[in-house]
Amino acid sequence: MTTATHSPQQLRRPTRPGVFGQVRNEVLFVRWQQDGDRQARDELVHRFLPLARKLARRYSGAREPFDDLLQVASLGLVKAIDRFDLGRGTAFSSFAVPTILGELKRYFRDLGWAVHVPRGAQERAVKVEDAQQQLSARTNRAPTVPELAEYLEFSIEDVLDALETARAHHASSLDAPYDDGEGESGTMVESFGDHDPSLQSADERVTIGVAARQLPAREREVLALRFVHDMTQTQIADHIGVSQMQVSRILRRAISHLSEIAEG
Amino acid sequence: MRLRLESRPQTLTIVRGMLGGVAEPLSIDPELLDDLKTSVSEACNNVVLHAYGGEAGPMEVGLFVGEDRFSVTVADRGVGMPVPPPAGDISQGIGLSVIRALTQDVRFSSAPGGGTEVEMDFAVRRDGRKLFKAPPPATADAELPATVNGEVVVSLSPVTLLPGVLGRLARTLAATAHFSLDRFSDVYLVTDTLAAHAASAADAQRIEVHLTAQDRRLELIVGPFRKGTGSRLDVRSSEHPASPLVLLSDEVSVREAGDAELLQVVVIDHRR
Repeated sequence: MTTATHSPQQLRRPTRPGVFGQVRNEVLFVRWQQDGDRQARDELVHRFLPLARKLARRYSGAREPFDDLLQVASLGLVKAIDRFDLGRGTAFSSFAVPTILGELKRYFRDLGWAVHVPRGAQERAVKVEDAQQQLSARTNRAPTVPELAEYLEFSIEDVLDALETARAHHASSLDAPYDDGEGESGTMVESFGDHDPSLQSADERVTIGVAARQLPAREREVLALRFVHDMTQTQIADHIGVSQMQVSRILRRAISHLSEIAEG
Repeated sequence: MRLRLESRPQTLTIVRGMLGGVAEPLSIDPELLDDLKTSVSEACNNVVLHAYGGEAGPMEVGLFVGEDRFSVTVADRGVGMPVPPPAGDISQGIGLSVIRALTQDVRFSSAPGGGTEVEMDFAVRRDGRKLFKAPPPATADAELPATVNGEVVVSLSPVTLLPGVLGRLARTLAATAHFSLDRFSDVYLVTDTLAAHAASAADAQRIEVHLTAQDRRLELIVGPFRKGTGSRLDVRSSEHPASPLVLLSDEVSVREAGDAELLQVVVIDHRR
C-alpha cells in the first residue's frame, strides 16, 4: 500500500498523522460511511490527496491557477469518498478518478469552456509579447521559444499556443495606431516611403510583383523590407516602430492579400 | 490521419500540436478537444515512459473521424501490454483511469510483431449536439517512396486538413530546434504557401509530410504533387512574382516520385 508522502502543503489539513498508522483504507471507509467517524474521512482525504493533485495538474498549465484546480479536485475527492461503495470490490482510485475529473470538467463548463480557454490564451499572448520585447532588448536578437518558456515559466506548448493566439489576433488594438496609410496614423509609413525610393524599384516589382501595388502602403512596405532588402522581422520592427509580432501579422496578411489578387 | 514519430519527451508537444491543428478545420468542441488532448497525452506518456524501457522508439498516432466516429489510436512496437497496476496503488496507473473516464470506449490490442495499440473512441454528440464536423471520407492511396524518411511523418486525408496540421507541426519542430522568433515566424509564411500550393497541386486525396528538425534547421518533404506543378513556384517576373516559399526558404527542390513529384523545403535559422 502506498502511503501519501507528507509535503508541507498536504499538511494544511487538520489531520492527525499517525493515529491511523497502518489501518487499511477499507477499514477507514467503514468507519466513515457507517460510523460517521470524521477523522477516518480526513485520513482518507489525506491518503488520496496526491491523486487529486495529479489530476488537477493535468488540467492546469498557464491558463488556470493550479491552486484553484486542486481545490476543485479535492472537492471531487471528498465526494468520491462519500459515495464509494466498498461492496463493489473495485479499487477506490478507479472510482475516484472519474468523480474527480467530473468535478474538474464541471468547473470548466461553469466557467464557460469556450470563453475561458481563449481568455487564458489572450493573457498568455500578452505576456509572451512582453517577454519577447524584454528578451530582444537584452540580447539584441529575437528569442527562441524555449528561451521564452524558461523566462515565463511556461511550457513550450503554452508559448506556442500563445504565439498562435497573438498571430490570429487580426484587427487587434495593437495594430490600430498604424492604419493602412490613411490619415495621421499613416504619416510614419508615408515618410518612410519617401526616404526610401527603392521600394518602387524594378527589383521590388520582380520580387513581390506588380500586384503588390494594390496592397495597403504598410503591407507593401513590409513585404519589400523583408523580401527585397532581406531584413529580419525584428529589424523591420525596429525600423518602423512596431513589434516583431505585428510585423509577422502584417506579412502574413500581405501575402494572403497577394494570393487573393493573383487568383483574381 | 496518421502521425509517425519517435517516442521522446517532446513527442507530447508534437502530438498535441497536431490535435490543435485539426481542431479548427474539424470545428472540434472545446471540451471534446480538452478530453482528446488529455487522453491522448496519457496514452502517449505511457509509450514514452514504458514501451521502450525509457529509450526512444517508434510510435504512431492515428485519428479517424467520420460521421459517427471519432477515434484515436496510439501504437508502439515496444515491450507489450502494460500490466494493470496493483489495486490501491494510487501513484501509478491513473493514466488508464483517466482515459476510461474521458472516453466512451477504450480497447487494447497486441500489434502483430509485438507492441501495443490503444484505441480510444470519443463521444460524437453531447446533449444531442454533434461535437465536430466530419470531413469527407478518407482514402488510403499515395504513400511516399520508402527513400523519403523524416523524423516526424504525417499522412492525412482529405488534403484540406493540411494547412492547420502542417503549420502546427512545422512550428512545433522549429521551436524545439531553437529557431529564433524571426525565423520561426517565417515558418508560418512558408507553410501557408506550401499548404496553398497543395490545395491546387495535390496529386491525390491523401498527402504526406515528412518533417525533420535539429540545430536550427527544419526540413519538410511534402507530396505527392502533380508533375510540373513545383516549377511554377520559382518563376520570377513582375506578373508572377516568386513565391514566399522560395524567397524565405534556404532550399526548395522538386524530387521525382514515380508519376508524381515531391517538394523538399529547408529553412535554416542563420543567426549568429
